[in-house]
Amino acid sequence: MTKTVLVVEDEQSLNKAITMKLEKKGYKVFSVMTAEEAIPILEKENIDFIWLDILLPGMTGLEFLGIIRKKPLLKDKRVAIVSVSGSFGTKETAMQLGAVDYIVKSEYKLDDIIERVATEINGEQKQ
Amino acid sequence: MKRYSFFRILILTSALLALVGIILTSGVSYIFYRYNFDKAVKEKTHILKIISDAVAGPLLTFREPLHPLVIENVLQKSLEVPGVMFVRSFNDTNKTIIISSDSKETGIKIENPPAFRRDILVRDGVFNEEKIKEFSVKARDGTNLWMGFSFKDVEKDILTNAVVLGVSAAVLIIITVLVIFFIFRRFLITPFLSLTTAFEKLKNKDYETRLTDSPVSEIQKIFQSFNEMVQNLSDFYQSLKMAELETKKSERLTRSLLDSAPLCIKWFDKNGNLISINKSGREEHYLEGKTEEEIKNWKYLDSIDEAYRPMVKEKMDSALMGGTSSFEMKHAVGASREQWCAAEITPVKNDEGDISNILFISRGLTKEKIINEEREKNQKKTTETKAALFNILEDIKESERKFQEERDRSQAIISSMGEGLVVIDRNYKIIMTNKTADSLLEAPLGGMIGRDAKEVVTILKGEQEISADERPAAKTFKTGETVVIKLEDNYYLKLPSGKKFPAEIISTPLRGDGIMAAVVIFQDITKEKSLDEAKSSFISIASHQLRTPLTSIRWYAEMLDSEDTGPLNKDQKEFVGRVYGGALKLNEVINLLLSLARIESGKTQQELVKINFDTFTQDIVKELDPLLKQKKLKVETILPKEPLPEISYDASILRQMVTNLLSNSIRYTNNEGKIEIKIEKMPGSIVYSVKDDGIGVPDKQKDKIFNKFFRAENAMSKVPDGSGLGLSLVKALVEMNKGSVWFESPALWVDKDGKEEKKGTVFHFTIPI
Repeated sequence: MTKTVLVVEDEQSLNKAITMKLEKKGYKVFSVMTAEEAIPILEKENIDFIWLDILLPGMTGLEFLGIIRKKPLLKDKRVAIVSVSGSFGTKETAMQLGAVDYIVKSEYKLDDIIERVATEINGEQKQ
Repeated sequence: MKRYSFFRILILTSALLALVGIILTSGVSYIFYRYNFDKAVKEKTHILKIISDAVAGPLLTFREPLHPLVIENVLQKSLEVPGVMFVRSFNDTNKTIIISSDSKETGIKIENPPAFRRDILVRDGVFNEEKIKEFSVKARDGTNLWMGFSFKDVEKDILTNAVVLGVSAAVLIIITVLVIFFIFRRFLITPFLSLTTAFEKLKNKDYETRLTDSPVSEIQKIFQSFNEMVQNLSDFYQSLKMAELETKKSERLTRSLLDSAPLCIKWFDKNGNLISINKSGREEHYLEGKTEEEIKNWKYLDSIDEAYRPMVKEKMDSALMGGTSSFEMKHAVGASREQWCAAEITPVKNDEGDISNILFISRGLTKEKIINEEREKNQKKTTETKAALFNILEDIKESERKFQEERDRSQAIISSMGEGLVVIDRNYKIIMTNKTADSLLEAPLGGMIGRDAKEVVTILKGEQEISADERPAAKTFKTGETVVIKLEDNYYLKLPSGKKFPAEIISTPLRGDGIMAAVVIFQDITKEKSLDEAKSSFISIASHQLRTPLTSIRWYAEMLDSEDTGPLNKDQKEFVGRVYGGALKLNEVINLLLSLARIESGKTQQELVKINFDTFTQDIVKELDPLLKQKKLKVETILPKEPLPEISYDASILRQMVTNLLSNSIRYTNNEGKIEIKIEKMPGSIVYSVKDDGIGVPDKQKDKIFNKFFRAENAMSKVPDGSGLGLSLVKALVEMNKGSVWFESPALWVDKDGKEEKKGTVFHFTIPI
């Protein structure tokens, strides 16, 4: 079955690039710019994996993660927290909130990031 | 210690002396007796020997044997010698006793003449139970002569003599001891006892006691001195009484002087109870007509306006610690009696230098006129009173003027301060503030005085209110040290109105008798704080705003390059590659610049972990493997034989240092070259060295190599795309962690085989242990 990925990323160009790459890999991708928009999709669709940017307009990525971790139906979603520049403390918070990964966008090539995400999406299958 | 009376000691000594004397005389008498007894025995023995010799001894060898009648006569005569007990002579031939001390025996025939043994004689009952000395001689006429004498006889007179001698000596000694005893008692003990009694009387202040004469001149001298001393003492006591009377008189005078002074003068004891108050004071406080008892029970503090009560109480307490204070206040309760006065509180010390009383002088300000009138009236009084009054008033005026001047000066300095100043006493009450403090803490001028500092302002660290013990003034009281709170401590002052501002605070102890107060100086640092925050937000904004578009460029170039959107021609491929390469370099420069900015702003946080240098270094080498392979470089790590000590360090910072140095070496080493890493333990630090055999640093540019954006000439020509930031970042990171960094070029290097060479460049940095 096709895996579904929700990309929450406010930077349009980055959003588009990641969506394109993931779709090319064969995933079904929902892409939104804010956390607020992500909630209805999460509730409606069966999302396997969330690409969650940390710095979002309105609710931040970490706040959003905190909220879905409290919802019984959503609390087990696999989430990768993504930042443009890793700053102190956020990684620890993300990991405490049960993120499967913490990706610093500016440090890696796009292909490497996609490979990493793909492994994490499929990681669930193995379990 | 057990004590004995002199008399008792004398009796005991005398008794002891008498006893010793008796024992000695007994001993001497015994020796006398023994000597004379032995002498008498020797004499008797000698006489008996002469007799026996006369009868039978060798003296007669040249003569004819004596006629028996002669012998008998001699023996008969010998019986008359004093002490001779018995003489017996036996005729062997006809077995008869020729002569005997017992006349009845003479001429008796003995059938079996016994051996001449004493027991026979004893049996005969002549010398029954007596100690005797005996001689037996065989006379030449064939008779057996036997003679003896009893010790009892010899002893009798000698013993009597010895006893008489002993007894008379003992009597003599006892008499002597008794005489000495009585002399001592009469001339020494009796005067001594009377001296003791006199002292006892003196102790009970009987200055009339005197000692009567003594026949002993030395004792008489002592007695005279004692009498003189008592006389002096008596005189002194008299003069003391006189002085006491005088003092009382002058006290009365002082009292009347004070009473006539137009000042309210009060004395309080240490507990704040009124001891005395002068006439003006009684008028001032409406105490005229009250009894002394009522005045003593009058509570002064209750008569003060409530608003001033705590202050006055505190000033009185501070006077007990030695402080002098002047102030103005309102006293006397009730609208009709309310009045202002200027007061001065001074501690009064006793002769030991301890503060025993408080002198409280006040002057009614509303009554100024009346006082002046009173002063005029007083001028008519005696000259003495006038002079005294004048002096008192002048002194007070002078000290008031000086105090005012001093106060004005300090006030001017304090009120012109740009920082807020609050003085807090040990009870955490505010005792002084300046204008800035009043305005910063939104209080009316001086309105905070007397209030609890904790109620006036709340202190926060970040968002959290700090406990009472943590407040700077409390810490100062506790440690006695100056407490400094700086911008980075993140303290805020919060007022009851809800206003909150960041502050820098300095609390300094004010020492008097111990720490009397804390002087707290504070400053509103809202501006500095916002500047500081702007600095940190610039870093994070720059970090985000620069990296986001750059990531976008990189990713799209990458997508184009991987022909996600369709094939590219050769030129397109090259151009996209250049865009990608430029973006990568820009990314590196931004990373380095932001790291530097973060270190310089002091915003770097560190997370210490234990470092294992071997695996740590190998991990970094592994990460850089693609670059090493590209240039076919070898990396060799030299570790000491002894294991390195475990060091706690921020792993990501150490990673940045080593990665930057290694990238630098890779960049400037020729293809197929060698990079060596050496980690050594030196005293106080670990030295981490990275050596390349690259192009080296030109001498004239050596001092600039750690400068930001600086690149050596030869480096620029060899590798045109370096940023010139890597080494400055390494330097900043090392120095932030109290290490030092330096380089040598050409490097003097000892490799792992101990071979020494001079080539390339080596960078060293230290990690303090």
